[in-house]
Amino acid sequence: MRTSILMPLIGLSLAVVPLAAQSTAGPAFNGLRTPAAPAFVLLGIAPTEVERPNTPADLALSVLNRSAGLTSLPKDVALEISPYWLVKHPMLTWEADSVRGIDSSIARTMTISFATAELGTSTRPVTGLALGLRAAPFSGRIPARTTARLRELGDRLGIESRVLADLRAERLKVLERIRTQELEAAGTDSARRREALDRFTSARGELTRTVMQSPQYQVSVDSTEAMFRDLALNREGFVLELAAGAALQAPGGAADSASLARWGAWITAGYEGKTLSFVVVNRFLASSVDSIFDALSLGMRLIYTSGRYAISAEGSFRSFTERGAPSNESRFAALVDFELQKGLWVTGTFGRDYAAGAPGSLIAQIGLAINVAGQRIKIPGP
Amino acid sequence: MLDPVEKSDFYPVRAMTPVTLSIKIGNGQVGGTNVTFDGTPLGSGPITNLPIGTAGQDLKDKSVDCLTTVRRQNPSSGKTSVTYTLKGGVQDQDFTYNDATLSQIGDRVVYDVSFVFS
Repeated sequence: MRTSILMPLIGLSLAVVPLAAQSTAGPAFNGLRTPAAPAFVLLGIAPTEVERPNTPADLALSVLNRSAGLTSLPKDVALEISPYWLVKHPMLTWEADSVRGIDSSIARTMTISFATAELGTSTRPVTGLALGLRAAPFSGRIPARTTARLRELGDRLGIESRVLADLRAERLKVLERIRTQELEAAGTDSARRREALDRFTSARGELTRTVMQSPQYQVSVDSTEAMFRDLALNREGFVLELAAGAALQAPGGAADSASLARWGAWITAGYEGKTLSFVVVNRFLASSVDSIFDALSLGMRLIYTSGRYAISAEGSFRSFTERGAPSNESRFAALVDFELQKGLWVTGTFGRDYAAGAPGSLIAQIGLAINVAGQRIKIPGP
Repeated sequence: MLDPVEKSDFYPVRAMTPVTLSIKIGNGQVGGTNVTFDGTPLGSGPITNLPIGTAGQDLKDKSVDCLTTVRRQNPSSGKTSVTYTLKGGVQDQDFTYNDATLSQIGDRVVYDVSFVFS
């Protein structure tokens, strides 16, 4: 899989919604990073063997660059969508989502991923295509301390809104007086009444935008942000995720030559705590090209997060199921993530890959994970 | 911060009958509202069955103004929506506005909404 020494890895999160939208590394690392798509796992290019169940984004595009020295453009691309979060849910409050039943958990965590990767060599190019699916029947719950903080935030946002209302109150009274006069003049003519209301809305909007630029309001906003900058909506407790997928290989990139190459299914179970998380993965991967490498894997990962960094250790054991297959193998790796600044992570993976005696079995990777998503949708004007 | 979402609608009321207002912040986001009626502050924070007007008060052509600040907390979606439910008028009615999408956790938008009683 990943055998090159000091092979740089870039995980660019070019999401329509950010994959790593958070303020502080500790809680953010725990809860908000979208894990490697199952399709990447099937293609054998995922950054980690033991991926945690995690929070899906409604639409995410991941790009991996496995070239040495960052000398070429990324060729491994995964698109992952969460059907549930692609549509609006006006009646879903955060309180209603704090505890999930099995059906709602499956709906809110289910993702479909598509990935392509270049798996061959320059002389024998092979394009890999994969489709993956995952869902978590159990996805933890929002802990009581976070619930309390979210309620405080709601109250605080109400106070902020009151500051805004107070600052515009006098001028709004004038606008309302004019509106009342215009409505009275319009009588029962619904079109004229609507026009009068629209004029009022436009004028009130301009007033609100002006007041929002005032120092008094900005102080109120800054005060709220200072209090809640580190608030992340992490779920804790028992998590259980199911994933499956299939991969095709197309030698030479020719569509007619594409054939089923690998398929797999896995179960991930674990416990998410405030700073410590533990996860176990049981995975079966099979190849239709050469079944001698059909394997059942068991992996474990322990993760500790604190402040701006996260440290984890993972071990996995692989047993081949076919007669005449290689003997059992194991892999050990340590992973370090450090947030240099908001949205920019340095990641390192070090350890020993499965074939310990083979050249390149030493895992040593350092790379960057960058969140490049910005504000993407402007609210239409009145 | 994004520009505010600006909305106004009519809500038909019955003569001399008060109404109530409830506000729901959707899409798993967090928000708080300040409500004023006829220029007078009525409440702030989470709003549930807030009485507007008193028995015997004619609400016609008066308005209730709501400023709702929504902050993105949902890591899975940046969509926002606010539903204002008015009850006690000619018929109970939900007004749902969902015009803003927030790109990052911590981003915020103000929904600036008025209901004129007719």
